[in-house]
Amino acid sequence: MSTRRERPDFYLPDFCRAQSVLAVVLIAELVAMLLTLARHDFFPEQFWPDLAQTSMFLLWAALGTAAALCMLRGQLSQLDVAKGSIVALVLMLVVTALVTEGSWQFTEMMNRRLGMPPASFDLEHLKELGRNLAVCAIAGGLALRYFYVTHQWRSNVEAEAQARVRALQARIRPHFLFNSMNTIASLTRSNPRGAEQAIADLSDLFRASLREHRERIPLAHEIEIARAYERVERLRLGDRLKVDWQVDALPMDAQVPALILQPLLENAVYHGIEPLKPGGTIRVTGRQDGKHAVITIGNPVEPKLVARRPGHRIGLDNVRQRLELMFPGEATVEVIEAPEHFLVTLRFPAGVPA
Amino acid sequence: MKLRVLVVDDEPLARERLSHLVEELPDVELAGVASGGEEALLLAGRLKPEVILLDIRMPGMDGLEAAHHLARMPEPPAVIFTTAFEQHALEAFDAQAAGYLMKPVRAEKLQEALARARRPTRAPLTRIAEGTGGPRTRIAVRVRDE
Repeated sequence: MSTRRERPDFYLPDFCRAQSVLAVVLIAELVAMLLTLARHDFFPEQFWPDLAQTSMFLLWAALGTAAALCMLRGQLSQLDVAKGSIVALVLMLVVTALVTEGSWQFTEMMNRRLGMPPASFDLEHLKELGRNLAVCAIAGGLALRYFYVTHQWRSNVEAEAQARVRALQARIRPHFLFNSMNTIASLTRSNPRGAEQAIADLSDLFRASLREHRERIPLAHEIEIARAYERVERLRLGDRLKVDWQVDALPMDAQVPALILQPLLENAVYHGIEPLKPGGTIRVTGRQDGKHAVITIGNPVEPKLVARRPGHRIGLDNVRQRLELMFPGEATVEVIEAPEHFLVTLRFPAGVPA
Repeated sequence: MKLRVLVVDDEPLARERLSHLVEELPDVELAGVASGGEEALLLAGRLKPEVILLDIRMPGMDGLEAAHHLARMPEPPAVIFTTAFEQHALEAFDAQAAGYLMKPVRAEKLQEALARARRPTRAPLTRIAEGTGGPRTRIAVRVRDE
């Protein structure tokens, strides 16, 4: 039974969880307040005792229903929305009827012990039952509706976030792909082993870029990917490209979105090194700052370059948004643009989530 | 008579591959190689190649700028652009290119492009250089940048 998966449209929260139980208690108390206020003026003598009594009753009914929903969740989650709602509502009514009956019997018993005459039975009893069931049906219906709307809203938000992540999935520049293919075509004649290495590196890169969205990888792996990228580019650019890695101080097991560093290195090559005739050195430095990892990527810039190559900010914004999605409000991407230098600093939580 | 070709590319391996392809074609001769726009202009004046295989994206003087300078030569060589990604097609077109090849270049495509470049006499090329322009036969446009 437990292996069966819940239907995606199953909307009831898990009533076995403390959070949900607390919500149930709060709802029951609010309804108790409402009912008591409807029966009395504000705070006459009878208000508090009546509120206590109503609360007592409603808490039994609500918690009993929550317990029943908790136990039957496995079966309920297999039904469609309409059937599931009806079953849940019937369950509530049954529990309410049982609690009503229980409280009636309890009162009777107390009355007998105190030597008071039994209440005129049938009519009063039925009236109370009917009233309680009506209140339960209305309050329960509203609660179900509330859970349903909340669930819909949450799945909408989730779907939207997923779509955004998918749209943001890191893309490798086509230019890079075809230039690398050209490099490999050339290497197959002069340096077959180099060609092999380049194909393995490219495969790693594309495997990373095709990775399922939302997947996190250890920082060490991301650095490996960035280094594979560097090797491919070095074949192409030769001595013009140098990368100085100072990353030993980084928390290598920190989890990051795949391709968070490589696109910035690619930017540094594409916008920084490639337009520079003698080439230059990209500096990647990393450190841990308390609970955060800080990575800086700096590259020289051709000062005479009048117009920057297009697509300058796209990769950067992409990285920024993906970090924000993974670490809401906790990650920053800072850019320092000097006439002859370009510096990007990433800062994100270095925790290892369970 | 063999067609004399100058290969221009900033990447050593790209240069190497294209040179190999050129050398393997019949009736074609590698006149020289250059690693940038400035060097291309220098060698074009000295070696007088009939065709230049010109990479577009190069540091310093890029292929498009070099092509504009080449077109002002008294006997301009035919320019065939080579590029990894078709985002410069329109500009290449404006630069009066005799051809446009995608990297990695296929030997057959190179042969075709060289054959086409060989056909026109100097006269239409000179006219092109003066800005009258020839008939536009093919065009590939990619406006979107990656």
